[in-house]
Amino acid sequence: MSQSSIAWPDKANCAVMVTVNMDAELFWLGLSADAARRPKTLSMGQYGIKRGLGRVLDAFDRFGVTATFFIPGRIAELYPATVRVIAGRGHEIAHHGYAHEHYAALPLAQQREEFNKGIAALEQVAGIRPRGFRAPEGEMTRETLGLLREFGFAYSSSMFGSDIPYFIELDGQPTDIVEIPIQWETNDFPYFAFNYTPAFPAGQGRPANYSHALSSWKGEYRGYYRYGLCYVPQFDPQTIGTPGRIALLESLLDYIKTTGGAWFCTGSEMAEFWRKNGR
Amino acid sequence: MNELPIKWPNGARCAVMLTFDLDAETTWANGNADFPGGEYYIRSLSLGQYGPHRSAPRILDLLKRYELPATFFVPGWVAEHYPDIFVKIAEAGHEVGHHGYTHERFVDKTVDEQREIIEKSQAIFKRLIGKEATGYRTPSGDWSVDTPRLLNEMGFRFSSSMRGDDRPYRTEIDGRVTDFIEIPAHWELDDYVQFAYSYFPAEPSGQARISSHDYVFDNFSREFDGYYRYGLCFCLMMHPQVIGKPGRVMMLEKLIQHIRTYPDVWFATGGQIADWWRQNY
Repeated sequence: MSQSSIAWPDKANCAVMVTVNMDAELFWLGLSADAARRPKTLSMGQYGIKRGLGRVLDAFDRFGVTATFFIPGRIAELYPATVRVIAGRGHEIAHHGYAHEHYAALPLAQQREEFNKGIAALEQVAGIRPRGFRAPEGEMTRETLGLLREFGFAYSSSMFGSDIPYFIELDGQPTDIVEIPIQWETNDFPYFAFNYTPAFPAGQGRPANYSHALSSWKGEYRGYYRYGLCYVPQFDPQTIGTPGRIALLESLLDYIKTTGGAWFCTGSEMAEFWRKNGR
Repeated sequence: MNELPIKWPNGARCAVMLTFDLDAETTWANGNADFPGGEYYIRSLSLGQYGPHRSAPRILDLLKRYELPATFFVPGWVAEHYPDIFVKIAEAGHEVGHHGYTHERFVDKTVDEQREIIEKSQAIFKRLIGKEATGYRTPSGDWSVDTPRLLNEMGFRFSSSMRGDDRPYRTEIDGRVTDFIEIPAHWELDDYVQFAYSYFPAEPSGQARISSHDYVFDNFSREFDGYYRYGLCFCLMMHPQVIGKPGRVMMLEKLIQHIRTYPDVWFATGGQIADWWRQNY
């Protein structure tokens, strides 16, 4: 029985916003500029576009999931047809920087410039004005939040401080920009991504066990269901899209669907719901 | 994005390429070179020496019992210093591929240095088994952007060095699609990533715990199930010094038994897979 204090749509017990981070080779270039001369390292990211994504999209179709894809502008420029396929299959496309930059390392003017370029690329390639933002894996500053208001974003999905949405405060005042928080434990990348040089993870931990990762994701979902919260798993096609791991995503979605009582939503749908009903 | 199923020989549904990088102590010697006086270290080298001494015969026995072909990528230095086991591998019908001379990082070498390393090892192969390698796996991390062109010019027929696909492909060199076939490998199908361990020098650098046998069997078998499902080329990357331990080699045997529960799997060497791909794709 749900202990939710939130009246989710359709009398659902909890909300589920499935998200995809399309970082491809930009993740590795962001980790080390030296990756540019390392074809094998780059090919790990390219695998996500070439093979992983198709399997992810098929899994979403199979389980009737409309997802939210966070796509750096540079990726839209490099793989325009791919981005159009994602949009064409009905998923939401949102802003994820231009070249997957570390926002906290940039002065405000440059942060603004990356916002401009990232948004423009999505508009040009997919013909959409993104309503949501997720910070790339690096840090962000309060100035980055200010840019969300400046550019008219409806929501962000970047922070870790809750397991339900909340209104972002700027200058001590609540705004109507909704933050839809994420958690590392429901992100596939920390479990599975690996490379020796440049090193990821930095401490060179082992890639996780597949069954244990799946069990953790299902275990967290049971908690979100019980407490009536907003479950926001993150997947990157380069990690979840291998022939063996795609079955983990399918198993998770099957579990959530079979359990029943979840409201599946995109970032925009959640932001809209929260603006009407949130506190 | 949804491509036609791949056609494999004799109606097989997927291909399996078992590979063993017989690095012996070369990788440890390279690591020790970072320490003053490291050339005198002996203990870490013995981790690597275990591979040709104890593991390789055990692996050859396993492959013989299941009548499976494999591809061994062997640094020239290792062939030179362990000629008996090297020749035994070749005589058992397995393919031996090029893997540098002392497991060099090709991305940090000039083209001339790369050529020199390749020629040096090829001469050793020629002397010991009467033929040069036609397959190549880049040692230690990345190759350089120039390496595929060099390998193609030097007559190599395939490589298993990249990560960007789960089936073979023709390598594009200078904007041209060539006959030089790439059979990609993956970190998630690499025993070293899961098991390799040493206090000093530290491997892995962050001293993560050693994965359990069951955990790795679960990962490898789940990946195989996926490769079978999609009809791909399952390229398992192993290191005798790691997988050839008495208990782990039993885990490998269990994995082979798991794969053999499927009737239509083509076990092949890198050369066979590359030839098939070149003829059909």
